[in-house]
Amino acid sequence: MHFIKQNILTVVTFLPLFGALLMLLHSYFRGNNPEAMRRMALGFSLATFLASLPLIGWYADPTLIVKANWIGSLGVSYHLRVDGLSLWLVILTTLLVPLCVLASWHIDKHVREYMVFMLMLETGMVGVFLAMDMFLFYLFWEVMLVPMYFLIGVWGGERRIYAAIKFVIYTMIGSLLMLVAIIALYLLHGQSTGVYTFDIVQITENIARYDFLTYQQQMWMFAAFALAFMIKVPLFPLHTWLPDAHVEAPTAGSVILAGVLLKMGTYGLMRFNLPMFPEAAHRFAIPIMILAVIGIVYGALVAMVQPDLKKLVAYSSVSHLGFVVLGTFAFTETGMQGALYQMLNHGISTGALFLLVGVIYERRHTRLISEFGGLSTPMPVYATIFMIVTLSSIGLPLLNGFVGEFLILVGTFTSAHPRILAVIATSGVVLSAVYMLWMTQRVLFGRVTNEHNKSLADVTLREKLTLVPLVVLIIFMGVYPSFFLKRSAGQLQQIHRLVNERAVAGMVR
Amino acid sequence: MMTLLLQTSVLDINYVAIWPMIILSISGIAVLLFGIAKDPVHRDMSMIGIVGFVLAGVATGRLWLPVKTVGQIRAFSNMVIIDHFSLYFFFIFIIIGLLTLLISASFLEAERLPVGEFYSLVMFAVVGMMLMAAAGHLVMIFLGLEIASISTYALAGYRRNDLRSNESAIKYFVLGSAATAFLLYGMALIYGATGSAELEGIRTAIIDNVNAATKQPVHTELLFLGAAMMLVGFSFKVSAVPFHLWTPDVYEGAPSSVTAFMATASKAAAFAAFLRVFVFCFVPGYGQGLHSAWTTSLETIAILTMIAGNIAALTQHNFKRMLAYSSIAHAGYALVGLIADDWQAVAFYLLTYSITNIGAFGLITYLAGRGDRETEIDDLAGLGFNNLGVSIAMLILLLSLAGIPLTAGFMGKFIVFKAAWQKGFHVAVIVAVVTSAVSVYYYLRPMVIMFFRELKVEPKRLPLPTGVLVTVVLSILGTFYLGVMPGRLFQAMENAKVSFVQSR
Amino acid sequence: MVPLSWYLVLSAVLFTLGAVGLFVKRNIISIFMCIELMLNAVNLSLVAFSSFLKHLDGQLFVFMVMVVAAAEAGVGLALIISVFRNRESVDIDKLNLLKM
Repeated sequence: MHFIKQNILTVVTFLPLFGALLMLLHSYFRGNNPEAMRRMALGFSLATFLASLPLIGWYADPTLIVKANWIGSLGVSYHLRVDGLSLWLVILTTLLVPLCVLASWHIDKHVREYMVFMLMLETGMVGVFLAMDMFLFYLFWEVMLVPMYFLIGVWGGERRIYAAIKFVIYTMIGSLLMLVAIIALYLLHGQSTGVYTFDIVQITENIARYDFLTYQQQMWMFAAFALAFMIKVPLFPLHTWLPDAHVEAPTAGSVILAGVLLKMGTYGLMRFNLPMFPEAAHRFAIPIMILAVIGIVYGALVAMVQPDLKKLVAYSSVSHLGFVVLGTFAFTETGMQGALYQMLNHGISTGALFLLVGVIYERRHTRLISEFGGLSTPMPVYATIFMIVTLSSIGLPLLNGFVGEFLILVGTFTSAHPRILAVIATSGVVLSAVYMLWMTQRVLFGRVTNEHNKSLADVTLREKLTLVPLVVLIIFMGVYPSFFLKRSAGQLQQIHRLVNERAVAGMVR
Repeated sequence: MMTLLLQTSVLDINYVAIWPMIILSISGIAVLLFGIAKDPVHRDMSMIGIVGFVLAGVATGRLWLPVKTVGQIRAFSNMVIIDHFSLYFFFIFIIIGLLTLLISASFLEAERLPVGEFYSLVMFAVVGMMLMAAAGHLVMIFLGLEIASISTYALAGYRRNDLRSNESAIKYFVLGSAATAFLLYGMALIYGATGSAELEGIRTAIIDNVNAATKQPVHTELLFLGAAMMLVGFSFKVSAVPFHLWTPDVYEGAPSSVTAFMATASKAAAFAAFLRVFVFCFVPGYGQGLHSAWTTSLETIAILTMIAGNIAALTQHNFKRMLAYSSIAHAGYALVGLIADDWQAVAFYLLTYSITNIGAFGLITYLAGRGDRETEIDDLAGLGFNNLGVSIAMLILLLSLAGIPLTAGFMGKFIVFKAAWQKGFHVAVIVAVVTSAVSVYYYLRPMVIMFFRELKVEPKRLPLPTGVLVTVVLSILGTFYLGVMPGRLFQAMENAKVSFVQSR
Repeated sequence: MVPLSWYLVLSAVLFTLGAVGLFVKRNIISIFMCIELMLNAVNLSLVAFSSFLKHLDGQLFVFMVMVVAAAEAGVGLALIISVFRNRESVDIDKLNLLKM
């Protein structure tokens, strides 16, 4: 048992990559057989999911921590650790990837490469959440760009090249500035403590203990980290890469992008910005929250007028992620819990929405809302699932979306920040109901106006397999949130303490 | 005066110290002589070349431990200094030289060009580069530089009947010689100002502010003017902005394998001499301000180089030309390490850059096909899934040049940025970072063409020649090794014994 | 005795002439001679310094420069001849296949 616990994080991180290598070897010796590639990819991603499940029970166990020297002279270590903040995000990732593999079963262009990139991407994403060494974190963060770039660029839609390049350049600019901040933090920490290390845990502790960063330094580093993360979130006005990337990416790519990649931004804010630079966080809180609120309303308004289903969902992401940022910067425990919960919700609901859009896109090869109408008649099961997911996205009580949005709004309202922010954000909830319900009405209900839609087949078994787990989770998370919240509470409390204590001390100083 | 010379200089002839150079010179001459034979056997000459490089590598390796114990070996009246700095660069030159031979074999055969002269020119160039890295005297830097440059001029024009090759060689020759003249003038002025042409003498003169010959204070104007002239000369040689204009033309016109050699080994050699003179000799001196003057001006040059190189690369359609501009940009990154006074960072950066680039150019020699013609980026269309091995290799190498983690390129940039940030060159680091984000765009373009565009015409490609295959495999292995496990090399460099310890 | 500065000024003037010629001359042979002029201007400085400092390294340097200049001339003229064979012209402006 000890052995398993010692290695489980490494396994969860690298099993997909190992699978990808095996697939390459298999195709080299046995010929490139698409069916075998699909099955192997599914097998390895499912195995990763199963391997990640025990983490729910063991997440607090210190024997899980992996720490080994990597580049000694620089103080870089191979340090993986799971805590309340990363636990659910890891599970979300490992859950979504097999579903994406299933949803991509129909792809027949370069299947082997597609699946290999998918698995490489999974390793990168899990690695980002588990890495507790800034160097390692940065490594996973960047390496993950490559498979995503290819997924969009090779298997994407019409304007895929433009979208892929835009995605990469946006992310690179942010992340390279983050690299500078990482180096600066590493040097400052080394100069003041004498220990040159990239260890996130150690640096966070030492910042709290010795307080060696000047206010000025905090501000610059906060800005550099925040820029990288806010591009990823994406926070208005840095969001323009997102609609392009979402629309052009293949269905699975959109699911991963919305479900996991965007969460890396908000995760980073919670992991780095709040606990490491608390005074700067307080200083920047209001501007960031204002941007978040603008994003909420703007995303909702733009979503409302989109003729394209995928674009609509993409802009709804901008709106939803605005909530997450709002909750994070409320600096209340409730707000942060809501933010974390909303990250998961968004991953599940938006992931499901993209899958649902993919289902009809596969049948009709169009995503224009005007092409559809009355789908509930030929596709009743589809319509039911679509409705549940929509309601979850709106935030209907007893479904997951409600819990997250409610906690965020309460957290923001009770925080020290102006209440008007929470009030405006609430209008975003209303707006989201408007555009989502209007969209479902136009797509699902009414008469079947288009001849092509009359004979559409309902969801197949494979599609059910991809959608049902998400629907189950939507309901489960709606009725039993404490299952998730109690496991993340400890870590969030600590972040809450770090961000507030120090800031108050700083004000006195 | 004559007696003075004989008295002060002991003719310490030490062949052991220059074994690597001797071996390479002998094998270069041997290859040349084989080439005269009526019907020279290609394979034999390749063998001599490879064996020569391997033996030179062994000889270099055998010097590593003695240097570790005694610190440094000086030979020929301080003309040659063998320390870990020189040995490290010897390794770079030997590896690059060897790989250049490997990638040019099939090209020379296909073009029916004389093999012996080509190989021997490469070897002589490497000898010159070694002398530059091991120089202990200005005249050695000059001689080494000229041995290397003259060989490379001839190599650039190696396809005698090709107009582009001619043009490339002439341009390289004219601008290279002009740069040498500037460098030489700088050397003369520094000699006059400090009263010594030995690097150590110059260093002492600057630190103590005493002219070694006249025992009077160092002549400041001459010193600054000389340093500025040398700065110009070296900037030409490493192709830093605004002295970079020759680079794209020369790189595009020269045979691809020669371009590979120029972009990697020649650049590394120029940086080796640059480091020797500027970082080890022009140290923060006694009331001279020379150090801060050259770092400030070089910081500006580095920033301009990074910006201009990367921006110009964005608009290129020719692969070799794009890599030429990319090499200008990379010179800028290496200069950022140089202004930080950190020879380890620069040397490591040059190693990562050379290892990656030689592989990329190796693939270009193969992809360019007959007559070295198909070097437009569009010629790669649809290569991706058609020739997965080659295109993935290219992908990895380009990612390394772009500086994506897990590759050597990232590690090199990381080390340089860290060194420069530590010394307070914040602006330079931020410019470096932003320009490397921009650079991703042009490194991605070949990938876009390779993978995202559909194939237009079925290309008729020959099988990958063994030499190119070996080079690319070694280059990729090196890229990953330096990117993932550079720890041991860092350790070795940290413990390296260097003469003229930086005064800090 | 002629002071050192005179030699240095002469050398600087010659060097500048060479450098300017490098950019204004269009005939490759003339450009080549400008380079030689620059090298020899430096030689003058080196000899002057050597004599002024009473230090032999400068003179040694000059010998090396002369040798190298001869080698450079060998390679340079060979290149020029091969260009002339292919183009029947030694005008640098006509070397424009590679866009500047």
